[in-house]
Order: sequence, then C-alpha cells, then structure tokens
Amino acid sequence: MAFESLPGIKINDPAIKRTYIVADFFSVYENHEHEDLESSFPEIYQWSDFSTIYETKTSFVFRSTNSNGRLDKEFVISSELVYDPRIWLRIRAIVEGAIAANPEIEYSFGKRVLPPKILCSGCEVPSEAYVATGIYDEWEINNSNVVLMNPILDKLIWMFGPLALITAFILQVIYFGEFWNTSALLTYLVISILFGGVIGISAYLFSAYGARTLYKKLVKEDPAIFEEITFVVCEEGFMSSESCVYDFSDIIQWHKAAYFMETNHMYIIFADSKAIFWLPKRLFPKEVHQELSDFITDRILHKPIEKEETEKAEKPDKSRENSLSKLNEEPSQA
Amino acid sequence: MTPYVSVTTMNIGGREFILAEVARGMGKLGTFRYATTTNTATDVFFIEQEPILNIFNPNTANDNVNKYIHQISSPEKESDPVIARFSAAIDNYYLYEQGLARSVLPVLEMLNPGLYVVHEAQIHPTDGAGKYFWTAYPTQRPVLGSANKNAVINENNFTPSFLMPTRQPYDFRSAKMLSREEEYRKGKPFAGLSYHVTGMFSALLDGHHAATAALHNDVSFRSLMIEPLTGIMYNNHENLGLSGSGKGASFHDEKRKIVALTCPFVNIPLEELPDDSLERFLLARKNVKPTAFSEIKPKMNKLARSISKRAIPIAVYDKASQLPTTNMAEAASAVDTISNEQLDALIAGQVKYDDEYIISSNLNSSIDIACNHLQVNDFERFLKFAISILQNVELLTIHKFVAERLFAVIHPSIYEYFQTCYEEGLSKFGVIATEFDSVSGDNSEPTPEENKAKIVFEVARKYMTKWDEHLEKRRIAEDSYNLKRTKQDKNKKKITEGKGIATLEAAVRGIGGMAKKPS
Repeated sequence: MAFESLPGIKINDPAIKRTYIVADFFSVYENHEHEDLESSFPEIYQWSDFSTIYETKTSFVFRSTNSNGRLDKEFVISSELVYDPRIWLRIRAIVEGAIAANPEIEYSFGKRVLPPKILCSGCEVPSEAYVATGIYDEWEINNSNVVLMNPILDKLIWMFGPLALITAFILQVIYFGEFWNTSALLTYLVISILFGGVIGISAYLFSAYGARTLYKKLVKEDPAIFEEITFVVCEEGFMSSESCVYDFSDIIQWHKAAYFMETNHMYIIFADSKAIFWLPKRLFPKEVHQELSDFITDRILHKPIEKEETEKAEKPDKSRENSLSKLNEEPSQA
Repeated sequence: MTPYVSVTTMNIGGREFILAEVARGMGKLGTFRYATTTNTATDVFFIEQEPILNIFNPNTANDNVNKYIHQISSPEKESDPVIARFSAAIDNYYLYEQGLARSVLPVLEMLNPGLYVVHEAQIHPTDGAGKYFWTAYPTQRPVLGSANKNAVINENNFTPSFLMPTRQPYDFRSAKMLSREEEYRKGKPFAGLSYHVTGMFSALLDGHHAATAALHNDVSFRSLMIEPLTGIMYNNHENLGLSGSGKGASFHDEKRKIVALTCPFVNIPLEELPDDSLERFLLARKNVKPTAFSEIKPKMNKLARSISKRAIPIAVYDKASQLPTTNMAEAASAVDTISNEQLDALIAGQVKYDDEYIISSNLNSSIDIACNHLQVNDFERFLKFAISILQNVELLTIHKFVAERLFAVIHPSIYEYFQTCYEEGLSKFGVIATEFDSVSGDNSEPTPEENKAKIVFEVARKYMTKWDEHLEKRRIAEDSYNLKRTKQDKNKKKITEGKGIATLEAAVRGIGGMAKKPS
C-alpha cells in the first residue's frame, strides 16, 4: 500500500442518499439522511473485494463481481460531490495506493501528466536527493508533447518548407514549361517560396494544434495539472506527485522505468512505452542539468533487477550485455 | 490540540474489556509502516521520537508468514514523562485500584486516532520459544507466532501474551529488580503495561524489572494490555463470541459481508459498537506516519546496545524456558474449554464425547492439543491428565510424547511422579539397566505394561539427573543473588549511617560508586 498516511475521506451523495468512506476500507452507508451515520450500518469492503476500478473524466467507478464473474455491485463517486479538487486528488491517491497493494484489481484511468500512484512503493526519500517543487507550464508540456508525438518529425519539421518549395518549383516547370524565360522563372520561384512558406508554417501550426489538443484533454482529465507538484529523483527511485498529498514516503523504484528522454525543456521517463515522469528542467539550475541527466541515465541503466526478473537473470542474454556495455562506454549517446 | 478519548466498558462472550475511542490522539506511541516493496513491508514500533522495534514482513501476500523482529532502541531520558505515564497507569490500577479506564486514560491520549481494546491479562515474559524476553531480540530473526494470522487459532480469540521489550537489556539494574520484589512483599503484584504489536506478541511498555522479578520468584506476571482494533471479520465465521442469541442469524446470510471488528482478544460485532465508533474506525488509517518521523528516521539504523555487565540472574533464563511456548498458546486458543468428562474420554482413548469430536478425529493430535491447552490454562489439570495418559497402557504410542512433555517442565509434582516411576523401574529392571533390550533377559515379546514401564523409566531416569542439575543451578544462583543483596544491604546501611540522609535509591546508586555527594 502506498500513501498510507493520508487521512480517510467521507463523501456524501445527497441525490441517492448514500455516503462513502474511502480509507483503509471502502465503506458505503445506504439511505441515510444528512450526515448522521449513527443510525445505519455500512457495507464495508476490502479493496481486494473489487475486481475493477476506473477513473473517468468526472468520476471513480468501483465494481465488484460475484463468484460467477458477473457484476455484483457498482459504486460511482462523482467529482461533483467534492467541492475541492485537492480532496479529489486525495481520494485518487488513497485509491491508487490501495491498488498498489492489490495489483489483481483491474485499473484504468485517463490522460495524466503525473505517474499513476499504483506504481509507488512505500520508501522514504533519502536525505540526498534531487527535490523540486513547481507548477507545470503549458508551453513546456506542449513542446514535449510535440516531441513525444513524433521525435523524428520534431527534428525534421523545418524541412517541410524547403521540400514544398522545391516540389512546387519542379511541378510548375513541368506543367507550364518556359523555364528559360527569366520572368517566368522568377514568378515560379516567388510562388514556390510562398507555397513552401505556407506549408512550413502550416506544419508548425498543425503540430502545435495537436499538442494543444493533447494538453486540453489533459486539463479536462487531470486536475493535478494546475497543482503544485513535488518532484523527487533519488538513488531508490523517482516521483512526481501533487504536493498536497505527498509526504516523501512513496517513490517509483527504478526497475519500473523502461527508458528516459531529454527534451529542451523536460526530462521524461517512460514505463511500458508511456511517459510517466515529466520533470521540467527550469526547476533546477543550469549547471545541474547535465549531472541530473547523467544520474537518471545511470540509474536506469543500472536499475536493480526485481525478484520476478531474477530467474531470467540466471541465463544472461549476451546481446543485451553487449549493448549495455556499449552504452556504458558512450553515455552521451545513451 | 487537546487529546480526546472516550471509553466504554463492554462484555462480549464473557470477555470484559474497555473500548477506547481515540478521536484526537497525540500519536506518540504505536506502529507505522516504514517501507514497502512489492512483497515486503517494514513496520516500526515507536515511542515518542525513538524507533523501538523493527518488524519486517517478508511476504505481505501471505498472512501466515512469521515476521523478522529486532530491537532498535529504547526511550531516551528526555521522554521520561512518557515512562512516568506508563508507571502511573500500572500503579493506579494494581496499587490504588482506580479502575481500568481511569488508569490507562493518560496512556490512551498518547495513541493515534482509532479504536483500541484495553483489558488485563496474565502474560508470559518470554519470546514464545522459551527465551527470556528482554534479551531475545538483539538481531533480526524470524519469530514464531508473529504472523498476522494463525492457521491453528484461526478466527478464535486469544491473548497476545508473549513479550517484546521496549527498554534495552543494558537498562537492567538488579537493584530495581530487588525493589520490585520488596514491593511485591508489601502487596503490589508483579505487573506491567503492554501494547499489542503483531501476532501473539505485545511490546512491554513498562514493567521490565517486575517481569524479571516475577520470573525469578516463580510468580505469574500480569499486564494491562492495549490492543489496536484494526481487523475485520466476515459473516462466514460463526465464532463471534456474541452475548445475545438472535444476532447470530445474520451471519448465515448468503452474501459475504463484514460483520465485526477484531483484535486478538475480542471480536466486536458492528451492532455492539457505540455510536460514532464505527465511522471513526473507518476513517482512521492504520499506518499513519508519526509527527516525529524526521527524528525517528535517522535512528532507524541504530544498533541496540548490548547486554550490561549487571547480568540478569541466570535463574531467570532457566525459568523462562519452562513457560508455555507459542505452539502451546496456539493450541490453547484453538480450543475454548475442555471439561473433565471430555478429558476422561481422551484418557480412555476416545476421540468423541456425546457423539461429538472432543478436539479432532486424531487421538494423538487431540491429546497433544489438550496437553497444550491445559498446560497454558490449568497446570494442575495438565499434570493429572498427563499422568493419567501415562497410566493407560492402551495409549502406549503417545506415552513417549507425553512423558517428554512432562520432562520439559521442572516441577516438584512431576519430580515426585518420576521419582516413583524411577524407583519402580529400578526394582524391575535393576540399577545398571540402561539398554532395555538387554534388561528382560529373554527373547520373548515384552508385555504392554513392560513397554510402558520402560518408556517412562527411561524418561524418569533422565529427569532425576535434570532435577539434580536444576537444584544445583538454583543453589548457585540463589547464593550469588543473596550475596549481591547482602552487599547492597551493607552498602545501604553504611550510607545511611554515614550521612543520615541517603535514600534507598541513592544507596543503590552507591554500589557503582556513583552516589551523589549530599550537599
């Protein structure tokens, strides 16, 4: 279990006269009036009683199935029942902390900029750690989203203009002919430059629009985007979490990280091909950037092997060893 | 924030206790989760700013796995007011008879918010495997009976009666033990205050010297016991210990649901809980980090200080090995009661009484569990039962087991019994008989009576030697103890005569040459 120090939360749903308590257990008081819970007995569920939990844009849905695999109970906690987005974030942290201890629960969630807390383990952040707090900047996220949409496209996007220019020029020459005529040639050139410019700008606008759309989706689905975030990178692992729920007791261990990418504005760590950790560079002084980048690279390359992987480790894969040793020789390329 | 604690006296299934509802606690005492991985967890029992015990669970997925426990530290001198609260609670209950609730209230204020059960019980100052509790946890090791659940006990209730210390062995002072003995002679029982930590184990908050003195004097040790109410029970368990009759019907509903809150001592059906308590239970979280966490964290890797030169009397270790073990306590808790008629049936080789199994369908296992149950709960009946089993030649297969059970206990009655068996055996088999194959002198099959006599004779012979050794050890221990005491008395006299104002405490300090010079 993670996020075990967060106090439990009571949520009233006046429309269906139901009260939920989310803490070490999930409890439901049915048909109560107001907040007086003394007269009724709740149904108390252990987290492992739920087979599926999912978070939509506006609610948490908890489902339990019976022995035949059929839907037994379903509870929905809407975000409208919570007046403060920070309470919602606390509910999310408690629920995901409980799922971390019960990995058999199926869990799905929307677009996030912060890592799901189901990846966390209870571990104290050591005194020597890279720690920063700050709020995400939309521009930083958009820029990184463009990079994530297509890392190669990001590098070559400026070439759209010249390519369109050359293509337009060749097409005009083939279609209209008269390329020995200077005035015609100049006209073709001007039209080609204009066309190339329009295409180049459109490509930039298009990618920016795509990134903006992704961000808007993120804003709709994740209230954490406007919260102050605490970022931690240390020997044991890394973490980014809303400061209002984080007490430096939970981190994501390095073995859960697959690879790492550094953009102009962010350090991004991936798990299972999903970006789970976005750390803005601006939160650290420039002289630390290279050191931090090297540290993350080193930790991901030399991450401890988890127990489940121990059996695999008994038969070492030579090709992997070779590639790792190459990476070690050339850390800058890694 | 002023602490707020409300207390209700309850009786469920004949178990009397108080249910304490801590709404605003100081959070200065309890356990918290220090670290977790996918399958493991490390919990810490702390008092104020000191991590006291490290409890490592190697497999959180399996509740039947024993934990690894070791002692880290003990309360510093700064937290003496805390120790004073503990001592006051013990004195108020056992000496001034102020009642359970009133006595423990100042201690309850120090806990985290949540529900707690407080009761009084006899406990064993051992680690559940025959080791004296105060010196049993210097390094990390798996501790039998420390698992969250117990396959033998199941959902039955029990008293977590084995101990873990909160003071370091270094803190032992023979003078303090003597002082407890003096108090005992004046009428104060040997008693302590403990807090349930895991499985069958409680941390002794105060009363370490009293526990040692109790062992030394062969007297039972009692304790006020605080148990956090954190467990839950589903309706498919019938053993809820309900006092009323009609309420049990709801447990057989087809739907599986939680119907009671549990701690080792008692299961409290939801219906029995006072108003508001349930909501407080549901909102409270088990593993809340203490406010003093930043002070506790740097001390986590501290090593417990080794035992002092002021050695604990050897007799204490010897006597600890005689006390019931976790296995016995498990068996004792697995069975509620065994009547004399049921015992007679077992002695006669029957596994059923009134057409119902007494314990189980296996006779040997039933006798084993009955022995354990009686040894923990009623020693006199245990003796009678074990001796009766040994007298029934039809139960020859279990004679060796029962004889060895008796052999493990040093007790005058057992000595008397074995002495008789030994003398009978001597007359039958001769003085130098050690190998039974050669005793009978002929090749004919021995009769069951002969077999029985041989088995018991062999154990009795060893017991005679063990008894002599025990007496010798005891004599040496008593001599050294008396010598120490005489020295202390002399010292006390000297100081009292010389200065005229020294207290007993000062006299005790004077032994080590540290007495304060009176101004």
